[in-house]
Amino acid sequence: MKKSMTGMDEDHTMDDLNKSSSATSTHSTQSSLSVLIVDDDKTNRLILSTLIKKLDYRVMSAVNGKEAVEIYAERRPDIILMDVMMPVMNGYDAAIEIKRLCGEVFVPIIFLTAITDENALAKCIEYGGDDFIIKPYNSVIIKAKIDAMVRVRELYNHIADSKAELQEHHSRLQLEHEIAETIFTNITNPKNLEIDHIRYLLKPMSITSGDILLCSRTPSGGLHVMLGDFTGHGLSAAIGAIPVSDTFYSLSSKGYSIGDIAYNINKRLKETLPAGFFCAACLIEADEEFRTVAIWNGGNPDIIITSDEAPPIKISSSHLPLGVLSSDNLDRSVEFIELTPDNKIYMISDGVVEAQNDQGEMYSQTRLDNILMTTQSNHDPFDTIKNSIDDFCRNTDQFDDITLIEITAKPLDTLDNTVSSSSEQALSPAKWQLSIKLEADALKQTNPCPLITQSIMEIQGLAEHRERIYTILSELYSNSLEHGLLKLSSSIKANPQGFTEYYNARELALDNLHDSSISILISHQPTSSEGKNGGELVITIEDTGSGFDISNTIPSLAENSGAHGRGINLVKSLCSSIVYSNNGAKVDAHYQWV
Amino acid sequence: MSLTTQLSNDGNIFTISINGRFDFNLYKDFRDSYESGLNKGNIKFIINLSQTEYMDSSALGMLLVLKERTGGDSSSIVLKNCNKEIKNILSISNFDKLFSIE
Repeated sequence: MKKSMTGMDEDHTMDDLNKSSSATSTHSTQSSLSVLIVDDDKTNRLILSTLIKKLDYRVMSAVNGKEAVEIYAERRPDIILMDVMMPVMNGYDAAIEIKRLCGEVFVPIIFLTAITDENALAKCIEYGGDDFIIKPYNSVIIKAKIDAMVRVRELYNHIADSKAELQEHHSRLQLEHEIAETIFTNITNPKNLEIDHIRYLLKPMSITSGDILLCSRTPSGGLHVMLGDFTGHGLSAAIGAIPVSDTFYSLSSKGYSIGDIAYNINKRLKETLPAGFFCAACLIEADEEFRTVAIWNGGNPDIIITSDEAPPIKISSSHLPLGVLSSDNLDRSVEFIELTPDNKIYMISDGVVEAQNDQGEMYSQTRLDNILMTTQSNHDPFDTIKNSIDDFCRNTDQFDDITLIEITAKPLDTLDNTVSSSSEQALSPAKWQLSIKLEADALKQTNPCPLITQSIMEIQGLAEHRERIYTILSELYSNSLEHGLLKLSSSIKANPQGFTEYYNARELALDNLHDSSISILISHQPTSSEGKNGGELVITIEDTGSGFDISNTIPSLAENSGAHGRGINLVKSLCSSIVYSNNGAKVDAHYQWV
Repeated sequence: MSLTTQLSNDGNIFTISINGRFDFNLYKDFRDSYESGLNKGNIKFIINLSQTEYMDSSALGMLLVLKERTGGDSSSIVLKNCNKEIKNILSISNFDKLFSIE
C-alpha cells in the first residue's frame, strides 16, 4: 500500500513538473472520470499520463498488476489502461482480480501491448479486458478508444440504473400484491363458506383473484351467497372487493334482501370506481328451509339448478353488471325459484366458459351444459366439471380466474338465537291495517304493488322480506287483474310468440275496462311462538269480476318453469297459507315472519 | 394492426373496426383512436365488430368509458356486425341495453 502511494506521489510529482498552473486548473474543472495507468516502464507512464491529462481525465498510476489491484480497491478509477508484461503481477492476472472486485460496476480495462500475435490479443479479452491498444501509442487512437469505452460505460450504467429501478418497482409491486392478497383473503374470509351446503372451486389467475365469493347467514336463518367477477385481476380487483364485501356483509347481517344488497353495492361501486370498471355478479338468497331461492343475476353466466326428477332450470343474466348503471336505473327485481332438497344450484364465473386449451379453443357453455343439463344419471356434477376443466386446460396457462360453486338445497341448520336476535330492520311487531281500492281508471295507469310494499317497509321494517312480500303481492294482483277482470287465459303464453300476443291482448282489454275495481287489504298482527316475536301479514285481494277457474287459468310452476318461473305454486311456497274464495274473485294469503 | 379507424366522407361518423381479440391489449390503441375521433368534434361512433373474434370484460369496460366520454346516458354508440359469440357476450352482460346493436 505504501508503495502504491509512492506510485501516485510519483505521478503527482510528474504532474507538478510537467504542467503549467493553467493546465492544473483545467484538470480540476474536468475531474469527472479518472484513468489508472498501469505500466512498469516509467517513460511509458509519463507519455501516457501526459496524453490523457490533455484529454481532461484525472490520472493515477501503478507500476505493476499488484499495485493496480490495490489502487483499484482503494480509489476506484473509472477506466484502466493496463500493460501486459510486468513484474510481481502481470496484466492478465490483475485484470481478473480487478474484474472480480468490480462486481456489478463496469470498469473498462484496455490492454497496452507491443505484441501483435493474434492469440495474445485474444487472451487480453479472454482475461476480462475490454479492448487493447498496440504500442507505439498514437494519441488519436488512444482518444478514440477511451471515448468509446466512456460511451459503453455510460450505456452500461444507464442499464444498471434501469435494472435497479425495475427491481425496486418489481419488489414494490410484489409487496402491494401481497397486501392486496391479504386484504382479499381477509374480506372474503373463507370461514363463512364452510357450511356443508356449499362446495366451491376458486382458481385465481394471478396471486389475487378477480373473482370474489361471499357468503353469509341472514338474521332469520337464511343464506346469502354472492359470486362477483371484477374486470381485471390483482390489485384493482382487490380495491373493488372492499366496498363490495363491506356492503354485502353489513346489509346481509342487518337483514336486507339481495335486491337491496345489489342496489347498494351498485351505488357504491358507481360512486367510487372509474368508468369501465365493474363487477359482474350473481346473488342468491335462500330461506332457512331452502324452499325457495331468490336470484339476482347481472352479467354472470347462466345459473343452473339441477334436480333428480325434473329437467334442469337455467336462470340467465337479466341485469347489467354492478357498477355500470346509476342507482336510479338499477333494477332490483329478483327471480324466485321453488326448490326441493334434491336440487343443486350451480354458479360459475365466465373464466369457466372462457377457459382455453392449447388449441386456443374455449371450454364453452356447451361443454358445461353437456354435464349439467343432462345430469340425471350423473351423480356428482361438481367433480365432473372440475375434472373436465382440468383435462381441457392441461397444457395451457390459465387465462382468467375460474370459480365454480355448488349449493345443495337442503334445509339449513337453525342458527343460534343469540346470533340471530332477529333482523335489526324489523320494527317491533304491531297491529295495523292498510287498504287501497283501485277503480278502472286507476288500474289503467298504475301498479300499486311497489307503493304497498314500500308502505309495509315503512310501517313494519321487514327489509329482509321485501322481495318475498313483493312477489306474493304482485303475483296475486296480476292474477286478479289479468284473469279476474280482463279474462285473459295464460295458455296463450305457452310459446314465445304467444307472450307478445298475451301482452297485446292485455293492453286492449285494459283499455276497454269499465266499472271494475280491485281492493287490496293488508293487515298485520304480532305473533309469538317458542319465545320468538314475529308477525303475520295477511294480504287480501278482491276484484269485482265473476271469478275464474284457478286450476285451469294459473299454470303451476312445474309446467311453467321456462320463460317466467313464477306461478301460484311459487306463491304457495312463500306463504304459510293461501285461500281462494268467491269462485276465485277473492284471495287471502298469509305470510309469517319472525 | 388489430384496430383501424375511418372517418366518413361527410365527417360525421367515426368507425373503429376491431380485428381479432378485443381485450386489454387494445386498451391504449382503443383509447388513442376514440380520443382522435373526439377531437374531430361532434361525431357519431360506430364500433365495427365484424372481424372481432372475442371480447372480454375489459373490452366491455372500454366501451363503457367511450360511452361516458360521449355523453353517458344520452350517447348513442352503435356496435355493428356482431357475430353470434359477441352477441352472446353482450347479452349475458346485458350490454345490449346500453348500446345499439346492429
